[in-house]
Amino acid sequence: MGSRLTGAVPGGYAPGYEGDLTDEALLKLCADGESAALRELVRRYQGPIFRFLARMMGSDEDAEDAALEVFVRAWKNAPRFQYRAKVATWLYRIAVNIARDAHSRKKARPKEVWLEDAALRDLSVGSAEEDALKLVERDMQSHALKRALSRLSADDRLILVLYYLEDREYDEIQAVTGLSYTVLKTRLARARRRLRKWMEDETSEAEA
Amino acid sequence: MNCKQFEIEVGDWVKGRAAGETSTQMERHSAGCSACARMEAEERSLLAAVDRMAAPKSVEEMWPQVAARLDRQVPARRPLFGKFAFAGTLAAGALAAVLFVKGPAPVPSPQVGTAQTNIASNGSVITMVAEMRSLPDPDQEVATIGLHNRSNLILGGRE
Repeated sequence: MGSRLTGAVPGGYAPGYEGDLTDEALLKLCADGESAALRELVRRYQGPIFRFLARMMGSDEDAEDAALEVFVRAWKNAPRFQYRAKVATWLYRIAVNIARDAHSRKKARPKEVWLEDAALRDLSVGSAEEDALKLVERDMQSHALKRALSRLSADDRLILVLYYLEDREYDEIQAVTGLSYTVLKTRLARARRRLRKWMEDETSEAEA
Repeated sequence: MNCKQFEIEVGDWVKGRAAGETSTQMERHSAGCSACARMEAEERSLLAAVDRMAAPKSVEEMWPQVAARLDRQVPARRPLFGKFAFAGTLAAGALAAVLFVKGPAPVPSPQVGTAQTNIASNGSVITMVAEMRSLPDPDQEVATIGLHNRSNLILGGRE
């Protein structure tokens, strides 16, 4: 059974799929067991899905593993997709579910890896032309934001990541979250308030 | 515009997404309300921090790993025959009843394919499978399913 996945087409690749077919057409081919179509979907969405998951989960390693799982689930569930939503939206929903599952399994906040070693090195080096204090202050704010995001609930983080980091429009966020426009705006305001509160705490901790 | 409305709209306003009239109301409110003016400043600071936030590392080609994971799994399949499952079941049942009364049918033509080689000793089942294959079949794997899976074929079941 598995051999048809990569064996149907040598290397699982069929030249001519790149850009020729819509996402929906590719998913229909996936439903028929055409692995080359999945390969093209992976090529199109691996970047956005990975970046989204990295921001949601706070860890590049966890995000990479989760992104792989997104495409595996998409392949397995392709025959059941009803084409009422965009394929891209569906992939994001799968990603959200995986991120939530991972969060529930760990029963803990995601790793706070936003400020990694490289960032710490940059923080201490600074630029000769810039005011060093301002540079440090700016990086501290960015660091506080990352840590504050990691402390929020998965629901709050999802809305904030889509609105601020992914810069999505409301209709796109609605499609992923399933929230109405009014509820979404209210929850966004509430999540923003919590984020600011955590950022203040992070900043005061850093200054203490 | 009150403070609650200001809080809901502040994100869009600072991002430059607010409509003209809303934008004017926000400016006016912020100018006269110190708490909301502070909220505006915090929102601008938040957006600046978002802009400076480093993007996650660039992603490597994921296909080899995806393919490796898929090779370890059995993919889900479409429901066999879909909306024709019930009709197919009825047809198969009727055919089986006729065969039971009249005895085994003659061995059909060789187009039956792989299924025929698996069940050559049972002509009635071959006929049944050949009959089923004439129905619309969304699942390409049906032709390779052996005798042990014929109940799935007939009942429209799934693995």
